[in-house]
Amino acid sequence: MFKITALNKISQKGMEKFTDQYHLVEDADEAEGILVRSQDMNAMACLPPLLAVARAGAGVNTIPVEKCSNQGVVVFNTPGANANAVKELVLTGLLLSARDVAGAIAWTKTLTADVAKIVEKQKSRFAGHEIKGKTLGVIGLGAIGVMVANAASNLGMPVIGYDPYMSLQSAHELSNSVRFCENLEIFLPQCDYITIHIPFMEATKGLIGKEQFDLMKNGVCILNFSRDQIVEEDDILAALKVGKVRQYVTDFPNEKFIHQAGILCIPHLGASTKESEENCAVMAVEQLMDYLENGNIKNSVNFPDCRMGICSARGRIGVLHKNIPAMLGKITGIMADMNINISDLNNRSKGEYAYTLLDVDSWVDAEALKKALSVEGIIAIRIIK
Amino acid sequence: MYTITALNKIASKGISLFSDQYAMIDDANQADAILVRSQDMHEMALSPCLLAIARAGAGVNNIPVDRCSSFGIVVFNTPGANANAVKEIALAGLLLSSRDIVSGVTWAKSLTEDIPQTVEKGKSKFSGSEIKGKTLGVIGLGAIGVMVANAASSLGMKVIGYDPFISVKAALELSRKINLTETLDILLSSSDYITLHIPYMNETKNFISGTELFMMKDGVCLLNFSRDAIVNEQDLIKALDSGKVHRYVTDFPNGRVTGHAKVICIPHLGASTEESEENCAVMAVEELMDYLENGNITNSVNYPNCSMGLCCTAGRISVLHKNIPSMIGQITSLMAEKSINISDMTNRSKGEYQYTLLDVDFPVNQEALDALRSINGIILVRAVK
Repeated sequence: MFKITALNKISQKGMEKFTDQYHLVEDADEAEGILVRSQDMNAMACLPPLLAVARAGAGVNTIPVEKCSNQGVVVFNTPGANANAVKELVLTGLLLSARDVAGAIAWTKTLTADVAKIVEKQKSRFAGHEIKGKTLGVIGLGAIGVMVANAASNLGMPVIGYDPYMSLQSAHELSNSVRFCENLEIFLPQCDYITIHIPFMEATKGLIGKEQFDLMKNGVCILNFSRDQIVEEDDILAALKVGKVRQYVTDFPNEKFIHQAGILCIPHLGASTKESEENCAVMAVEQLMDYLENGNIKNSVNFPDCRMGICSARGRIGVLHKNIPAMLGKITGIMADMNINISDLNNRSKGEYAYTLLDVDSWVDAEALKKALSVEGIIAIRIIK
Repeated sequence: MYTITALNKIASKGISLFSDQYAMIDDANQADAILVRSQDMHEMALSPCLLAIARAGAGVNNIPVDRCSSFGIVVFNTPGANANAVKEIALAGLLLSSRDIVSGVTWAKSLTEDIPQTVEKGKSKFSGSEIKGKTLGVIGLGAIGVMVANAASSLGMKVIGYDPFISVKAALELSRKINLTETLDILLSSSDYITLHIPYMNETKNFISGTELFMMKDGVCLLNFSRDAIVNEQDLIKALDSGKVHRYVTDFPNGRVTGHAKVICIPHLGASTEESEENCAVMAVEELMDYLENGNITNSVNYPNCSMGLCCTAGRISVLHKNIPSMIGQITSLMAEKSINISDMTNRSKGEYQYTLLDVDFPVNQEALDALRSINGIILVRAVK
């Protein structure tokens, strides 16, 4: 029996996946698994019995990830679940940046009399461009970037992609008509439209600033559906002022942007669709269940992906530990000393952390094992089966 | 040497196509051909040397077409030049009908302080649906309908098309993934989104009325980028009020629909792009040049399409005449009488008018041309080569 707390309302399609082995509790301190969307958890303790936090969504800056890592709490997110929602909004943004349809609709709403006539007389101020034949640059070719690139290519845009860390899966899904560029300095001057699809982290903070704007075409349109801090705020405002950037479409409104001409502020709607919410909930619940029941990790932000399916051996043990030398030797050595035969073992690392999943043939004395394994570098041990 | 007058500013992408055989002049009375956009020509005197008028655009109600026909002035327009512009705005309309981005943008603009926090709190009211996986019904599969259908299909929509008069060309361009139906009822009852791309004429007036609306799915979104009178707006408003239609996107604002909360009114921007203007100019100039140099007619509104490519014989004669009995007989007997051998001939009619293009083996002298001109029913004879 596992106890689960949902800190936000999680879509029914996800919640109904829980079997009768699961019990929903109000008190997060009692829970082994937490489901969360946007609720800020930074002030929460995240101590045992908590084993995992699953974020139905992509961003995890509302979750104290480092604290969780040190306390052996695996944090999951659901990358790709909202990819189609974001893709469709990016396309909308692209079309709205080419032609000021949003401004035109708002203007039409203000008309009361002689509507058809006034429209014909004044509509020319909303005339714009087509996207067909214009070059789109996609920075970041993850799930969303690839979908945007392929869709734009289908709409007749020449598309260039830039991503120094492209995954095999993305490479496979990317349309052949999308050109790949390895150098941002060669990439930027070619684009009429640039859309950003990279995660926010220290290394990507201010990735697009004055130096990058200087390399771009005059009158470029920039779309930011990733995170506001990736684009230097003061630099984009300056670039808009001199006409370097014609239009900035952002999903992250703030006081400086909201009344600035040339900026289209969408109120953070990237993932706001019914379908996306359902996909996120389903993925979050499935990942949580797979970790709680089988010890498998998929789409964690602090521990590595590591899976051994459903355990068919006598027992399964999950060991979260630091990624430091001799850990595996110590774990297997101690198990050997305790006469536990290991039938299968998987060990994966991610940055500072590592995870070892062991299927064993013999009965395990949980207390004795935990005691024996309380050596430096081990964060948490769980007898899963 | 041909002389051309442009009554409006015509995009330089078009004008630059004129070879050094052409001279741009200001006096329309001296011109062999006129290029026009919206300038009203009804009060203009049409000089006897005027051979053709090309309208960069679709509508010709600023041109005295009947008078032109009777003087043998061929009037061209540029259908399809704006097809991609309309396709892109129809896609924008589709995306905006599935998620209320426009209201979201307007709402964000109204915020003054704590914008990021306020956005997070209030954004859920602008949450919507994705178009992927939904069914789009496309009524009318001409140039635009086909482009919209193909684009929607590539975005993951199921697409059903309906067009009892679909052309072979359109059928060839239509993606194989699109289901064609011969019964409108099937399209109406299975579509989540319906977009109209049919010409306006007597038969299509009120094409979508109470009966058709009744057959549609509850919560359908209807898009109209064709003409307002195709939809019976009185019936539509009832359907919007009852919730049958979730949203109506129209490019034709008028007093009836602008104020309605479920109507998205775009101020007739379908063709309003720079590229569409350029395409129109290029097409108009190309049509004009082909007529002046080769006598070929493409996209005329008063004379039939008739093309024999470049002339490879000694001479080419073009004859504009009435569509009355025995015209061809009289023309060909006269040529026989004058011992002029006809190597190729094409004859096409359109309503009251007809066009005969003859390639001949010997240059035709003035006397023969004058004899042709004296035949009753002949409007204009020109030695093209």
